[in-house]
Amino acid sequence: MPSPPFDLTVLAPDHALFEGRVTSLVAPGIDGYFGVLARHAPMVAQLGSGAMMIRQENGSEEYFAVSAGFLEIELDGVTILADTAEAAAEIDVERARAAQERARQRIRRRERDLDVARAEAALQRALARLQVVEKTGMARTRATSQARQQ
Amino acid sequence: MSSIRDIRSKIRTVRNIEQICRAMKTVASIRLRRGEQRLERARPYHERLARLVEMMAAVTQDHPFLRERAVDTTAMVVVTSDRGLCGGYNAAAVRRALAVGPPENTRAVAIGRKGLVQLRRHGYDVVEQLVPLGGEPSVAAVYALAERLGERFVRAEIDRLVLVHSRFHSGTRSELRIDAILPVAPAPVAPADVIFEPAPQQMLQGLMRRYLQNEILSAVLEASASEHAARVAAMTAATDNAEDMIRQLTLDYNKARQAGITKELVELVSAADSTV
Repeated sequence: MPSPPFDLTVLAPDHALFEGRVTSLVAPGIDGYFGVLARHAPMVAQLGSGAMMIRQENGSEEYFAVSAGFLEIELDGVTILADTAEAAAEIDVERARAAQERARQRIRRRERDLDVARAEAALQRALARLQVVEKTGMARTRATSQARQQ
Repeated sequence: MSSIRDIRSKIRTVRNIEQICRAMKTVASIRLRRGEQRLERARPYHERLARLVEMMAAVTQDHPFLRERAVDTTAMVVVTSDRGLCGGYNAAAVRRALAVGPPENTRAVAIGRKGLVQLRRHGYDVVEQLVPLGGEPSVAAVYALAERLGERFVRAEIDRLVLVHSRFHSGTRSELRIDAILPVAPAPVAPADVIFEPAPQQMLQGLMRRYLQNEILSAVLEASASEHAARVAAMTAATDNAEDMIRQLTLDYNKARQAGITKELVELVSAADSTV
């Protein structure tokens, strides 16, 4: 049985990413991923960085890379306030890989003036982006193979 | 009446001024459009975050930003522009800032050069500043400033933080506001049965930090768009005035020229008369 849809708004400080109806979402909570369906109890959750998945009414899945933020569930819908958020299509894979490499090296070299928290946050962001790219890629391959079977 | 040559040079000067005003108007309108877009995109997040923070404030006071205390020192963040030629934009913001409190128990935080200069002149101790602000304000610089202000608040160097800035409504309308942002005013009704994940105390550190950063960023974006709008208006008025002046001067010029020709003709005719 398909679950009923609910309103979702995904906002970042400099733009709105998504506004529409979804049937479910999976978000990177600070203590691990969690799912939200319609009629969830009111909640405020802190988000870590990772790949967020939403399933739209037509069944299509979409991924966003988010880095930290908050998720608020109210009776009339869900709002995500992300520090930074990007839709899969906006992600530049090469840049994300380069950023990941840079952050890794910075952490490994233990430079004297290294801001560990910042370097780790950068690494987390890069990983979240790559995760989104990978998952979107998988979803696409799955969709095309399904299309082929039909 | 001034000589023809004087008038001609005056016309040239005014025409130069007109061209400069027109160029500044063009630049300001491009910046206004860009600033307005940036603002529109930033507003939804700001509104929702402020609402979430007010709701949290109604549930818990487990963070310095959420606790009321006796107000000894108020800090006011005053957002102005770096440069003038934008009508009464800066003067109005500074005048409003003076009403917040006297220099004895009010510290100033200047964003934009004009405010810095004016607040110092009025005897305020400017404890933090973001100067120059620039035409398109930098998020990183605003966040760093917010961080320092938050630390001052936690150390109780300041007990209350207000923001003096112009809120942008449209190209022709801005509204000067004084918004109290610290301590956070809780929502009137505390929500019942909200699940917090993790516990509110653990989230507050991150949430409060983001709140202060975003409040100041939002004020800067509102003020920056207002500034560009004010400059467009001022430069439009200046261009129009210059045009009027050129029209008047051209008229004077033609009159003077005509007077000269008439005088010469009269001289010619009288000279011819006397030779006959």
